[in-house]
Amino acid sequence: MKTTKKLTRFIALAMAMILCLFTLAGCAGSGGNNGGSSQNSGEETAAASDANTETVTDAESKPADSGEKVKIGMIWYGNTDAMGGTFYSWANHAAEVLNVELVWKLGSYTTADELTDCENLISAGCQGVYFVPMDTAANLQLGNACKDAGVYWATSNRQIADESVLTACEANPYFVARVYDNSYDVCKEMVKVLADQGIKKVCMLSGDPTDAMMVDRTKGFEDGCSEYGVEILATSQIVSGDASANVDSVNNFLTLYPNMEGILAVSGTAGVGEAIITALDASGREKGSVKVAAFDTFEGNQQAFEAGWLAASCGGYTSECLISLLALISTVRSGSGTGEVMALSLSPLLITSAEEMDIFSQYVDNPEIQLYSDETIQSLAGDGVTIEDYQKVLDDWSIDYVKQAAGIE
Amino acid sequence: MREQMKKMVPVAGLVIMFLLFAFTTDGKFLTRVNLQNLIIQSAITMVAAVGTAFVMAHNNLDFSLGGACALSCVLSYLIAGQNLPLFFILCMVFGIVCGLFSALLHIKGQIPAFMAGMCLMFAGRGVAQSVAANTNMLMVGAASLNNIWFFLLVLLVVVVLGFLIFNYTKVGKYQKLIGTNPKATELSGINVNAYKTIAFAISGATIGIAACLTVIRSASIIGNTGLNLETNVLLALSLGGISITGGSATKMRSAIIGTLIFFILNNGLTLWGLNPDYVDIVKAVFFLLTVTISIDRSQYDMIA
Repeated sequence: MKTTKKLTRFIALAMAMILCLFTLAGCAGSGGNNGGSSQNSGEETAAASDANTETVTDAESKPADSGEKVKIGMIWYGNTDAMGGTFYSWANHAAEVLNVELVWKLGSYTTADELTDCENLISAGCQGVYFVPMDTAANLQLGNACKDAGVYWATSNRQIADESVLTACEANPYFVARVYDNSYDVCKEMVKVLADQGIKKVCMLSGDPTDAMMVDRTKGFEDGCSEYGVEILATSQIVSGDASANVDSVNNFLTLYPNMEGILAVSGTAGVGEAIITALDASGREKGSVKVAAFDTFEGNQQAFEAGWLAASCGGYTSECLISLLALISTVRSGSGTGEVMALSLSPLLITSAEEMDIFSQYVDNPEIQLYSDETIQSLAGDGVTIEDYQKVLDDWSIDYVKQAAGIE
Repeated sequence: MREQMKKMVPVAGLVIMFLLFAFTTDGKFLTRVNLQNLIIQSAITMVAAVGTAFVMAHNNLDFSLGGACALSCVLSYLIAGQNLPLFFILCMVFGIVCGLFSALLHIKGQIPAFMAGMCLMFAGRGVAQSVAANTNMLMVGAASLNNIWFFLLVLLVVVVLGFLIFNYTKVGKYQKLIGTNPKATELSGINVNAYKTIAFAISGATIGIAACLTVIRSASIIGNTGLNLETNVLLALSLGGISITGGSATKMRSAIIGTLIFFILNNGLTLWGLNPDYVDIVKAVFFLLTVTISIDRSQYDMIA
């Protein structure tokens, strides 16, 4: 028994010594570049923003074309819902077509966890890292980790809300592309759809005023209303995750503004869309007497279109994820960045009928369907692809494109 | 002999895993940067685990960790803003206050500690999400401390202090005594409630430090700050072979060994490039094996 105890202690001591030895050896050489751990987020990012002329050296020296498979790290929220599963499928298909290896890290919802994933992916030998930033600071932290390691990075689905962070990120020579949703224009279009149906008085469910994406959507609705002569009678902020509070908001609209003809909602996810339709169904009003334009798709929207409540909806962001990834692969393959961040935007799909909603459900948010051909994928990951080429593909993203790609008459 | 062998499992598991990844990742695991990353990545959980071990030693569970971490960050930010030294001090203070609040609910309110902790977890998360919805809490300046030296220093101080207090002072020894037999401890003239309160305060202090480290890693505070901290810490402690029922079998080394196992496994599986569909399954199998072999089953004897 005593011998075993001694053995335990010996192993523990040996283990501790090995770890200390490696750590000290590692720390001794950490004076300069700290690899995955970003030492320089604060002051150095400011310095970096002044160094726009900095050239990419580490990545240039990497043997991207040495016959070895390009390895890309993918930090993604999950592959179990429609959008998550669709992009997971699209990205894996693209990787197969392009002979690229993808290393996935799924399920990180904080910047600290995303940073851990990013550091591990860099250690795993990834030459590029793609991620959806969980918040604005994630761009800075993960960007610095990539910069320190000489690894390219690209993002999608999120704007960078803070100017100083945006400046610092744009000065990062390894930042390849950022693609974000052009919510503003789509919201204006949604108001136009209502105005074309003769709607003149609406109430609005607005979004979190500190969320850049929500601010864009709210502004789009407001500007659309003033452009198309629609009056906003009242505004109430969406309570995220609290369906009953949102039902209350709609009921208040119905009670206080009997002349209300439409409802604008900056988001239909997280139970908001369902709450609006539930409140309208229970209101006793004639079906279709109030028209709803809600951003994002939600459960039961097909029936809401058929019942006449829903007049406009939008969704479909998978293309921007794919384009961001292809731009990253292209840069890693060529081994040199352009020195400029590609800032691209995507207008989500505008859905205005039950038929379009059906097409959306069947062909857009469906992991089984590949809407981009192998030739298109090849061409967008090759040499000499310009920012205009990528933007054109994003601009072409529409229900008509989906129909054509899916072979629907 | 068998019991001694069981106690070796977490250490042996750590050694085997270390060697396995060292020999199967083409040297990627043993690179300087990767080892530094491992230390930095495990610091937040390890620091919180050291404090939680005090609470577990007297046979309680602290579930407040993630929520208390978020609450400390948010309240400190609202008072200190971008003033880093003040922010760090306030994080510690609010962490301790959270610990004392859990102790108050548990001792004075006669509420099971894990329930008190859960309430604090939900309350903290709720406050953090509400404030984050209306306030942009960027802490870009904090990110300048995201380096190996700072994290190593904090880890050394917390682990060494935790080890010394746990093993060589009344505060630590009495926690184990309370965990072994609270009635006997009380009858021997020891103020059980006072020592339990101290344990929660220590746990709160480590939550405060973990909150500081989280902000340094994230460069911001959001509604999800500190998400899953309690799960990670309890899992790490279990992997380290801690006695769930507390008492003299509780060892501080569980916090260190368990946390390293947790993060080395996560790191190694990424280096292997394992299919993401299998990562959680592999982790579950490994965790189950380790805990099944090493767990102290004496507490289940009565049930059988």
